[in-house]
Amino acid sequence: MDKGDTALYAFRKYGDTVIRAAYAVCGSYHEAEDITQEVFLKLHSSGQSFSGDDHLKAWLLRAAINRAKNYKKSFRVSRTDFSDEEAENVFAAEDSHEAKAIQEVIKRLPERYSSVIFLYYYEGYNTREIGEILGISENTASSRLTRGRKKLKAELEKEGYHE
Amino acid sequence: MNKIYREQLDKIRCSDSFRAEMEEKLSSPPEEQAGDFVDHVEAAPKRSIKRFAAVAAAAVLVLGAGGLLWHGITRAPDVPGDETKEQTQIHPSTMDFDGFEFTLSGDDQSKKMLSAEEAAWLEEYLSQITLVETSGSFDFDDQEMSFYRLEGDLEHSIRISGAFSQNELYIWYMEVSSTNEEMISDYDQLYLIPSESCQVIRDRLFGSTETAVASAPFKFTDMSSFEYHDPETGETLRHWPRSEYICQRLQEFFDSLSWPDAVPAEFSETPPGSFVFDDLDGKGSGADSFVFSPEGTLWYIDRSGVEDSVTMYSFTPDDYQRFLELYRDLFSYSSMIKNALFYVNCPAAMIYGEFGSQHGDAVQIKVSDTSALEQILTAKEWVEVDFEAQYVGREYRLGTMAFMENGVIRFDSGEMIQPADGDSSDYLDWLKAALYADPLAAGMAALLLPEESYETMSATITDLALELSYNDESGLMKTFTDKGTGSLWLNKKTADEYLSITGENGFSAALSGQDGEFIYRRNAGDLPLDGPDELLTSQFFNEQPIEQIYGMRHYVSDRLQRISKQWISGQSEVYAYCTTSDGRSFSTISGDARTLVSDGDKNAEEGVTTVSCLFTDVDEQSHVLSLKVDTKGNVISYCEQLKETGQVLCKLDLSDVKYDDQAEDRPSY
Repeated sequence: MDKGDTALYAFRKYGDTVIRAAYAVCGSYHEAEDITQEVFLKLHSSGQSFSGDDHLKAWLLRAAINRAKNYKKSFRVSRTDFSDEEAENVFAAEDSHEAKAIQEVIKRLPERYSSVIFLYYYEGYNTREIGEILGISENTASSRLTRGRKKLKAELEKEGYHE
Repeated sequence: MNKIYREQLDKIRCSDSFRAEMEEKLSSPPEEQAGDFVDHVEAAPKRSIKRFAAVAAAAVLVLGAGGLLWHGITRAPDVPGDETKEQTQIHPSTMDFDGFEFTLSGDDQSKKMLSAEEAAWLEEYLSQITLVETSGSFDFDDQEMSFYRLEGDLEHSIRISGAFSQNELYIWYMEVSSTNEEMISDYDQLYLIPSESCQVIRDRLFGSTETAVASAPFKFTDMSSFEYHDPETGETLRHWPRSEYICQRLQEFFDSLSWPDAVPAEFSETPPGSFVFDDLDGKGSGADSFVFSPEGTLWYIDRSGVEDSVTMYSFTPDDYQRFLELYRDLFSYSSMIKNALFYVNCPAAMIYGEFGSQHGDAVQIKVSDTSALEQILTAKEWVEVDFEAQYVGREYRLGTMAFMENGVIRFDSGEMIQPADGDSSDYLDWLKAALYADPLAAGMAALLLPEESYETMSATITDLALELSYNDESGLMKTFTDKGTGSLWLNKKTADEYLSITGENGFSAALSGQDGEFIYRRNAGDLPLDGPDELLTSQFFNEQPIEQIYGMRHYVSDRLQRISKQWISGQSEVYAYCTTSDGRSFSTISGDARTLVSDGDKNAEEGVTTVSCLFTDVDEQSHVLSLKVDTKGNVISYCEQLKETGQVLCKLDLSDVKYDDQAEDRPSY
């Protein structure tokens, strides 16, 4: 595959994965789209090569999560409080109270927790793999997962959601 | 929880239009779509009016109504010949910077509104330097300063924001009409600026910064990681010191070296014992890195271009040894503690609940000097602690570490340590002393610290009307009312009552029943008030939240006895079967609450006890009644549950609270 093929292949295979990872961390569908675009165009222009699909996916996830974290740090998010119209289209108005609670909590969850929770609960990575993807130690990934899980539960309970 | 989390994220997918757009871009050769990529802010015009309406609303809160006073902004026809449709253009060399707020990147404390003099200087400076329009995208990772101003009213607002990096200036302009649901204009532009100009502006607006590069050709501002290739074990130790403190010490070291001239070089292999610093500016793309070898050779590798560029600097083995010592020191527990306290730049400690989540309210205190604490901590020997085994609930937070009540220290990075000799009393005492040195914080702490000595009332207090009297700055006594809900605490040992209230107007209050201490604060400064808004809101704008209210006293037992009588009168004809929390049971059909628990010699031994009664009312409905009763049988609160529906109603009527600073001392139990 040439560089262009890699990016196109990656987008077709992992486009949804990347936009989902970005959304899980930054909590904004609109920004998640921007981040996804950035990640794949970066891949397209970089000529990066990969040892296999797992390597490619890990690279994409790390790139998306890093950008989502930076989005949260940038003045774009600190200065504005936009509603996320795109997300309103994605999430149905008739979503259950629990579903809406989750949507709210995803927006509020600190990035250090949201990234590990996403990789663990959605993508099914273990803490060693999460550490490798995020560039943190396995121990740190494990600690963040434990705390993030409790934080998620506490935030959901604040929203009135109980298991 | 996990299932619903996954279900919600399942819904997030690329839209068809986005997918089509991306496939088209990715199908083109990279060179052809480079312009599209870098100009990702092109997405901005697609944003909905609802987003910008939110900005407009924010503008009203921040600045209030005002005229639109922009300079340096012109509107050019968007379409040649079409005079009715305009597109805004901005040029920073002619902009009016009066009223802009500037913030140093990553430092909210640095936020400042430009003075007229600073604005005039900046306008003059920008008019003199070369600004080159470019079509690239601004990389927010690199931003050194951001700025913004909002102006307008709810119907029509303008927001200008932007940021400086070392070589670029980015400006984003939006004009919004909420009335017509229309974005009148949305425009952004990136400019290349001379490399020294950002630093000149930083120094002029914020003073010279310590992080300015003295001589090293790189900065450690947000380094993501570095490696040490240990020559003895052959292992590579990787560190992720996302820490301003560590970056500062690294920067100080490399700036202190005598930098020779750079020599073009090639780099092939990392020698054993070397340090490798990657991604110095935190881009996540490994744009630049350097290798520092035991021989003192430093290779600097710039990967930002098409091909890597390598330059070499020759230092001495002694320089390397000094760095090795610094490295060992940086990862000692002592340095980790200094690192954590380094962040007490806005000194405060808070008491949190489990795992950093706030436990109800939080107590925040000012700690102006942590040097004594640092001395205590750095003099100790520390050992690592297993996370799961040692973690306990409440914690004091200071800087970027938390002190648990069992003495374990948890750093934000996840590491946990405890003293090797197990003695944590000295620093826990220091923290408590700091907490209780602030009498008002101590009052709040009394409400929040509690389970051991305080009993939480199960009652939720509703529709509580507080009539408050206070002395304003002129010495006049004023009165106002706030409403809220809350919960009640009772000290089991002394029977002193504390009341915690949160109000619908954003206030919270703590009330002590023993001596009438009252702590009252507002959480926001822009809320309507029935009373002394000018006094209290000014306190809250400065985040000096606590205001002493004078002339307050209330007397607990009087009120509780009245409540007791109200309850008894309401249920006087009802048969009830009751059990106490310590296992006694008895029946009653009426009478005095004191009789309820003082059945013969069966008084509760001490403190508060719980009585549960089951009864059927005159409408044949079954109720469970739970009462909190003190040692003398005074009912403090009660909750009533309808058996059929499970509906619970808790009551504590405080409408008859007496506030009278002339009243006689509170009767003892």
